[in-house]
Amino acid sequence: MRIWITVGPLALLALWWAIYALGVASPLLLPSPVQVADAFIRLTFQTGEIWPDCFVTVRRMLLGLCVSAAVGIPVGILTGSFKGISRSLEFLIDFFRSIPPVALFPLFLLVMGVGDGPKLAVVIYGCTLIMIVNADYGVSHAPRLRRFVGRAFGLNRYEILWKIVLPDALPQIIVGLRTALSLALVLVVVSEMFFGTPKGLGHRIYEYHLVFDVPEMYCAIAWAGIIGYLFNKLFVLVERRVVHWAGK
Amino acid sequence: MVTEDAAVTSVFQQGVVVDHLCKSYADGDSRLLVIDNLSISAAPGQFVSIFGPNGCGKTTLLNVVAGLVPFDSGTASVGGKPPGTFRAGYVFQDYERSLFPWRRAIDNIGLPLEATDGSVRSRRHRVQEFLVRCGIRIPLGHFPYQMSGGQKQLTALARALVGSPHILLMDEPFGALDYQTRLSMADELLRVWHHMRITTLFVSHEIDEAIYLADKLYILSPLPASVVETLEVNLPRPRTRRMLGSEEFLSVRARAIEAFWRNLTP
Repeated sequence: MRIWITVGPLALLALWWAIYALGVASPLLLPSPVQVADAFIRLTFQTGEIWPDCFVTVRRMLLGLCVSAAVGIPVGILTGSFKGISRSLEFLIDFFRSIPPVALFPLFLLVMGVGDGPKLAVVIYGCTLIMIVNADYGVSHAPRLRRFVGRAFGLNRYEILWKIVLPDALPQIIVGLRTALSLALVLVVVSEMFFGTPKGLGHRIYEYHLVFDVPEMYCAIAWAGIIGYLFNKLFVLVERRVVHWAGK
Repeated sequence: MVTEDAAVTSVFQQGVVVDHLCKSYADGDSRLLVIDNLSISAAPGQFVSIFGPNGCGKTTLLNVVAGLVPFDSGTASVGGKPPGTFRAGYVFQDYERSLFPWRRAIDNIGLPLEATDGSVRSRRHRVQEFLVRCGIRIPLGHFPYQMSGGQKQLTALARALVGSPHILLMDEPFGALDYQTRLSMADELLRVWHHMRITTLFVSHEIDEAIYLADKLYILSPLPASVVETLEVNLPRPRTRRMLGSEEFLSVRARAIEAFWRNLTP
């Protein structure tokens, strides 16, 4: 049965090849798989010039994610624990969540100037809200019964928060982290396409597109995909170990 | 046996007195009365079953005694102390969800020790010692989702007892188990109980089980709960399955069901 896992990708590759060979699409927009593979090998292994871009993109993504988690999780726990705080922030969170984060990029550029600042700001803006919403949900939907258990056996408020409410919210917090991870990559790549820094996968994709280096552009796109895929897989692995009880 | 008689004089034995207790919940603009002038008592070391229709406020009664919810009027005390000031071992109705899924059995059981004992090692040691003393066998390294229904129930029972509580509260603890497991759990409970002779309030909606375990049986009315009948169960201990057919058992059972029905159909 394991063989099936390769069928889809191979079929797609064959389709790509067929389209290229039949000349359906302009070869300028859709180069052959060989050309792309060639560019991929060159940029990745021979010159290695794609690595700094990958590195910079990943760094921005993780840095933004860490700040978002550090801010969003405590805030979400707070709003999830206290009805009043949650009610008073409900509208603000829903409203700001409705603004596409990239819409704020020009503003961040104006405020922070070029460089990493505005890119990180976009990521932190988008991901912090996701973390707040998920931590809030996790805490406010933790079973009341288990808090009761804590009280019945003499735990104080802080112990109940630390030993019961947080573990109960953890699966949802991790769901939030995983959602935020995907969004962070999107936001970093998009914001890198604006001017500001000479490095990053988004920047690289845009540059290749400007000079019609299409196979190289595909290579940079592929790397963005590989990064997203690997981090997501890694996260699922960590998730299964850390919240092994979830869903059982 | 000598050792069990020694346990009878255990220091944590306390009597329970609930006197003219009233309790209501906010229900929109009005209040819903769930406990109405309810009076029950348990002598130190007595096993008291509370039997009543579903949704009659039995769980609320236990929550009041445990000090988890406030009450309107009347008194509730264990060994003369008001709720919240004594240690209560509580086996919750939804015992499965009352266990922490992220903790192994040993750390679930050790929960009540955490208020006073900061060392994980010492807590685990005490849990193991306690289980050996009571002869309870649980796979201590398992997480709840790896355990059977009976094992989870035993874990919840052990957790309730490990902290040397003054009183044991059990809320339909065997409700979710199949009949076979239920019977053996009742015997297991009695075995452990004989060791500790702890004053116990046992809420049940299964009449045979309620009588089989108890020294005294209270029959409650439908909502709001009040006592409609008090029956002494004069069966010798230790109880055996054969007593389920004895004259005393059947006569208590007949009177209990009669009182139950009388108050169910107005």
